Amino acid sequence: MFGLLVAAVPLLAHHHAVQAEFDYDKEMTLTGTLERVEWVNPHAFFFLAVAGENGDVTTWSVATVGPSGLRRVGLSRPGFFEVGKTYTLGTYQALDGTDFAWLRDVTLPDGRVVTVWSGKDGR
Amino acid sequence: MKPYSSRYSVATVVAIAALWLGPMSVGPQGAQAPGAAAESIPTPRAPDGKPDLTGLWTGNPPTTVDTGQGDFVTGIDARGGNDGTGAGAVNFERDSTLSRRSDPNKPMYKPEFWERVNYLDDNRNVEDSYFSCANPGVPRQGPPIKIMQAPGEVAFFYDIYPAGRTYRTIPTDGRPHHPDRSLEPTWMGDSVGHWEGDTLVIETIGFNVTTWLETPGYFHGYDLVVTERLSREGNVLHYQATAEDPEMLTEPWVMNPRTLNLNTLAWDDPAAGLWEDVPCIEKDLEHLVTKEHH
Repeated sequence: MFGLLVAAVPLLAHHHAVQAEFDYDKEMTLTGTLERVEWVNPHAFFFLAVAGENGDVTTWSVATVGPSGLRRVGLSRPGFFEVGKTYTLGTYQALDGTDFAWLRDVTLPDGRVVTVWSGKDGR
Repeated sequence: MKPYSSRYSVATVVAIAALWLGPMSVGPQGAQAPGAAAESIPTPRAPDGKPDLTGLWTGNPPTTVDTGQGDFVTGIDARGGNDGTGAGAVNFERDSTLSRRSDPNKPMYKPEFWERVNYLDDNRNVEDSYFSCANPGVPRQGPPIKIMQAPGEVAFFYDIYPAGRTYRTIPTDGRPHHPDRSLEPTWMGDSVGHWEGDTLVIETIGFNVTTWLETPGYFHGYDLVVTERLSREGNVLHYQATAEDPEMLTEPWVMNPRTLNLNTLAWDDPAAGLWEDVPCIEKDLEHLVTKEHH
């Protein structure tokens, strides 16, 4: 597998090291209302309004791969991400402790789950 | 199939995406050993008798875009599948750093420059302008994703993740370097080409010192001269680049050769053409905690 990877990824296929920003040991599931999507390189962003136990709402910024990577797993079509609907995002929290995370998988409003990043499970 | 022309019902997703495989990831096509069939096809020739390099050189990436019926791709994640196997990367980032550093093909810097190379490699998250949306430049951006060849001129098109699209137009009519442009330091320099038999040879000068020759901190000086060689064998494109920088290197550095396959998919296949690019907006730097990179 390692040899295959070397052959298959001779140059950058991704951007920064995710491990420089996010902690694979801090898995976090966020359920909330989608406020905004930024469809840009190198990373797309989902902004999710999540209500805490005390009722306070925090907007989490969840980064993920760029649009071409999202297309690779079939998430580029219109309608999959709609502002105002409820999404559950499996994430890894940022090392710096901010309201920022890296997307692992997304549960769409109709219940379908799409894995975007396998994180440490790929080790 | 219907092209991706439907309007978004809600203004959530604001644009559709970049390419399947930019030049920074064409390697997988080379990793799949080009079939003898692709090379044995007669090489198309231009009216002037030269090989015609025109084409979309992305090979045939696997088509994994969903059908719109909920049939999402499974068994890979967004990193996987580039090699056509559908296999995800194993501890992708740390492994790719190791593999890159262990490549025995390194530029031979003069002794006094290795400390700088190591510093830049260790601090790539902040020192590598490519991480902040800048063009990686020549030769790091590798071979073009698309070529259009005309008499006396070729046009190279690139789609570079995450920087975006760029192009080069290169005269092949024997003219010298441009007297002004070749003096202005730029990411892709000033290029002139000529044919040596069936090989297109491109010489480029006039670089800035922001770009690197390759990812592990391989910086260079203003005197860099890059020579690229392209040849077509049937539906296979061979690409090689050599970097000469006598100020810093003890000998020319011949980069690992690249082999690209022609994309022969039907026009309406999602992986057959160029997707609209998206802007590159860097937001990660403020959150970087460690120096890890890949």
